[in-house]
Amino acid sequence: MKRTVLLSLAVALFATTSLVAKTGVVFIHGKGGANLAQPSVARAYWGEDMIRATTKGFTIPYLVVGYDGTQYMWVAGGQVAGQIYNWMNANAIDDIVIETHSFGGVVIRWILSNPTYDTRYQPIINRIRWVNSIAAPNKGSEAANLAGTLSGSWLTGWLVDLVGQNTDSTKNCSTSSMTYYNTYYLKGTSGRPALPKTVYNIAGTGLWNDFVHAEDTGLATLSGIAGMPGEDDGMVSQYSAQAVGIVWFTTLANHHHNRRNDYRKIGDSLATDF
Amino acid sequence: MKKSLLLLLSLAPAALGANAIGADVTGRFDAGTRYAEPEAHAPASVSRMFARTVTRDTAVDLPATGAGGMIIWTIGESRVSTRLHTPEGATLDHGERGSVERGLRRFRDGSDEVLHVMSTAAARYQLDVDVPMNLAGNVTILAAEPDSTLTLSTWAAPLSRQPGQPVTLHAELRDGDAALAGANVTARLVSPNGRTFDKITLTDRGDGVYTATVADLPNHAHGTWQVRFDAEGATPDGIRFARTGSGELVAERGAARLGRIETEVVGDMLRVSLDADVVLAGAYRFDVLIADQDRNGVAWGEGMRNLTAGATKLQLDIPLANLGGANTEDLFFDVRLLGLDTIGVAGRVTRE
Repeated sequence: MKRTVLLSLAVALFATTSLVAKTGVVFIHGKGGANLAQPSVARAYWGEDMIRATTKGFTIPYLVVGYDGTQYMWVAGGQVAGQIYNWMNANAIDDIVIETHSFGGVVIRWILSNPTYDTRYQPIINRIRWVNSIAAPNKGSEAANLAGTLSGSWLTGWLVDLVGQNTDSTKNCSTSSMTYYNTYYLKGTSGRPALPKTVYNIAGTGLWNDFVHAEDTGLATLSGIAGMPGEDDGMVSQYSAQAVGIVWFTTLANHHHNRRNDYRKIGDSLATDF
Repeated sequence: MKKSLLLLLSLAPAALGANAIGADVTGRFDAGTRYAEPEAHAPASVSRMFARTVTRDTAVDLPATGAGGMIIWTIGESRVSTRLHTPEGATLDHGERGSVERGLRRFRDGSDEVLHVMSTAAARYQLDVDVPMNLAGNVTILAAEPDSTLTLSTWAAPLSRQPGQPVTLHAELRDGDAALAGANVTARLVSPNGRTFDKITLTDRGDGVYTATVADLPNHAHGTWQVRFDAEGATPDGIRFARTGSGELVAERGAARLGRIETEVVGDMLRVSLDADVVLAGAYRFDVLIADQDRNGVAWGEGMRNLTAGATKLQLDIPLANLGGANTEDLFFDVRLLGLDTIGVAGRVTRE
């Protein structure tokens, strides 16, 4: 009953405010290779159906951000902010819903937590309605710790590609590093000032989504080797994804699938914002 | 149930004025937020796995505790051939995929290989690793027992280390509730630029805890130092085990020294100030966190400061309205100077 009332109110409010607000969606991907700075690679990260579903058949203006997926959050933040700033101004977008996956949720937290770091941050923050954060390693990822453990080893191949090489973005996501950043630089975790905009988190709690898919085998392997406590999606534990913001829902889609609209229709859920 | 009322609020222009570019940003802690002291160290990394590295054809011992399955991940530059021998006499030969019925399975993708022993015995497994002649790097073998109660918990402290502070390396071995003493536990420091230093042997306290104190880091590299811990031993029942863990700390640059926190009411603001001796010029974030005597978060403020080397005065104004009528003499202050050109804690002081 409460949900129905609130949704009705939301529709009414939106009908009023939409007279002056132009809404848009921004997708911010997670860590990976440097080639994620290329628009086509960033788009493929999400998959066409995720973008289609979230934007209700591409009817909501959207931006798929691309940034170098090997960099620290403050470097990535600059690349992300530049694209959002130009896009929102060029298209007069003044009501932005942010969709993030994995490290993308940490990058947007950097922007939200450091409004004076970059002159573009505050204008962007002012236009953000809220953030939907899928499987963000807010307290780090035990899988990222593994990359540190293996430091100095030959790091290549299928599973290491899933963990991430010992790049700056992977270092950023270790549990120790995120403890450090949460303590000093980032807002939104327990005991810290609140973020200026609300984050709704979505945690992945499944591993075996598709037995023929190599990534699924890899994520299940990582979950076992990295020693993730509680439920996890093969890369990020539930406790970490839910350490910031309000729990929206959990999904059985693993880390490979919870950025897509395939194993579970996550894009359809995101589209309910519009 | 999500979001509805926030929509209108988020579109309201009122927020713009308070957070104008270049201005300091201030706010109140959410009701019920407890002020949190900075963590002395990161949460312990809990490991049920161990790592081995080989450079040539080798038979690698894989001790298992007999609690559930074992996952064995072999990582090489190019495809490495392995053969697994179980203590019961079974063999998963080169290239065999195995089966659920045999309790042994092999998964391959590119140069990676994962073996799954579905249920282990508390005994030694052996992995024969055939390393290709032309392999340029090492072969790394990770063996994990996800269901095992035998864990290695590790951390390094302080998480934020100023120059000159000693470093503590901490490891704890437990099998469920039982402490495991008598193991050999070592650690290796890896600098931010990837250099690995000599093994350090941790001292067995006899209660499952192993520690070492390093008076100074082996070099002055600033940034994140990684620590790899390795433990080998046997349980009181004679079951051999091995575990590998990790930890990290941030070696700070010693970028500034902060003096005593002063406060005064100026108009409708509480001015928080201190003298700073800036060693390294650059952009910094000046943070003020305020809590009450019971350490309930009250208010906060932050602002960017471009500082030159030498003595300077830092100040930031907190609206009295954000203090909820509290007596400013009764408040707790935590003031921090954080690097922005180079990320790191330049200094932190508190006042009761």
